[in-house]
Amino acid sequence: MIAVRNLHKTYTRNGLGLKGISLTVKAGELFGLIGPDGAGKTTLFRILATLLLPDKGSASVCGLDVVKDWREIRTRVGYMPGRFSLYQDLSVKENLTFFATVFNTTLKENYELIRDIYVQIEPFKNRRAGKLSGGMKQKLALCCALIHRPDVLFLDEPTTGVDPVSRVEFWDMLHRLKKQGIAILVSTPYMDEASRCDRIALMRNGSCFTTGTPDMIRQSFKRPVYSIRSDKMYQLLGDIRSWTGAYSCYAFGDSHHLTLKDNAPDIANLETYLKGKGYTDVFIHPIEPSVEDCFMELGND
Amino acid sequence: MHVIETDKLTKRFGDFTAVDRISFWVESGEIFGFLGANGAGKTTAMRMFCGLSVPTSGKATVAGYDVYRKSEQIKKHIGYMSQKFSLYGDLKVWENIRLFGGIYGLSSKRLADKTDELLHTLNLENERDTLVDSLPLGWKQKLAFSVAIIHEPTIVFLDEPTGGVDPVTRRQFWELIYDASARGITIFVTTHYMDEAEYCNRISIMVDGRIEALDKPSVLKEMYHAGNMNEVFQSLARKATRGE
Repeated sequence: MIAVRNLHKTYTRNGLGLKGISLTVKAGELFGLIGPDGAGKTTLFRILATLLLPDKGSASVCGLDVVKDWREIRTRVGYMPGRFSLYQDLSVKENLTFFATVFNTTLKENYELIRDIYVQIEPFKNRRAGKLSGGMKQKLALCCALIHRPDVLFLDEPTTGVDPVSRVEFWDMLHRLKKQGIAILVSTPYMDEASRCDRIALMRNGSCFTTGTPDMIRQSFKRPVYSIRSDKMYQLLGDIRSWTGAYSCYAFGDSHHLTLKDNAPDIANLETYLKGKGYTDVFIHPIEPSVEDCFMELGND
Repeated sequence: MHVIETDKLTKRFGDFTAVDRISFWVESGEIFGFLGANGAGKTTAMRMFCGLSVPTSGKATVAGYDVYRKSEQIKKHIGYMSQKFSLYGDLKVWENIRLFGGIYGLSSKRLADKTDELLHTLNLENERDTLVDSLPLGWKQKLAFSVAIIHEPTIVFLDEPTGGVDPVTRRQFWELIYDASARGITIFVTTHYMDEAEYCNRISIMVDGRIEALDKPSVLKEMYHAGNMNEVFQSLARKATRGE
């Protein structure tokens, strides 16, 4: 449904953009774009949604070329940009009617597709979009993006600023939409959401580093990872980093994750080292890397 | 000393009770996590603590000042930063420092010293004349945070400071928070990242305008038989009955 081949786009202002991205997304696939600010995620969305022209390379959506067939593509895709996709001064109902009219359809015509989501925002249908809370705004924006029954959905950080409960609900919805055969391309800064994608691409500086299922990406992680806890967590972070065998160490909630250098001494050496520094209750055990570990590693290479 | 102390603090809008009799305190020097679902009442509560909104009833002091009568004093003794609004992108680095320093009431002599000191500690000396918009996100965040505490406030309010930020930059930001906390600045922070809840000394979770739970992360996990803070949050926030 989406095919991107060696896509380039350079912004003269800051040198950011895309530096040769290639990827494909199938019908009914939930594909995640994971990358830091400035990685090029939004640029890719805007090119695929035919709002921006690429400098080089090609891309097609639903088999249509993003440069030549932009008019046709726009009727076949739903796009939820990071910000300002709704009219803040219009009510929930008015926003839906507006988007339906633009796509020459009605709320009724594709009601089945949006019903699950619509019933949650229906109690607020007369409220202005600007007065909705974060989670509700995102549900309304998703409804608006779906109103013309698109074959492809582009979602640019749909859950940023949304609380953990609403995020889980939002992703449950995406899984139901995917079952209807819609191809979904979604970007997110939340690594737990990356794990809920069929495949993900890790992006940085306009390039795509790895593409694969979350499991494949976890398995390709080369270094051993250990989870470490003790009494003084913040101080511990600095001390682990100073240990000779440490390649990297980051806080992960209630523990720190340490990755080892190629020629690191035995892990027992770390325990002795930390006890020597006066730590008590040191708890070290090996763990499987998470997608977040893999992502952090990108920053070190 | 308690930097924030509230007693049955309440805010109503018409017949809607946004914040419903919350009573709690924040200790000096602590990192306090203020959690809750969208619409639980966090922003309304924060606006009262910052002296921007007058409570309907109840009591509260911030940095020792009463929220009803001393809101101007409060504004001088707090810092504020959010991901959405922090710096002016089309102003230069030094212009942003000057603007915020001026707003926080620094004298021009102190402002000049502070600007040099800040650029030096942030390693931004070569970026003095750079437009903030063209800085990498991580640098922008460092600058925004430093500017929010340029007047050495008693407490700094961080409203979703890491929203939409990638995992590496988020962690760098928390290291800044720890450093400020070690210098004695009290940190009051909201976040939707549950791993960040673990980095706080204590956290509260708001549901439907009330504080439903408040303690150290380890105690809360035990209390709710949860493996991590996300499970604690999910079990509490799902009890919410009111719409957003």
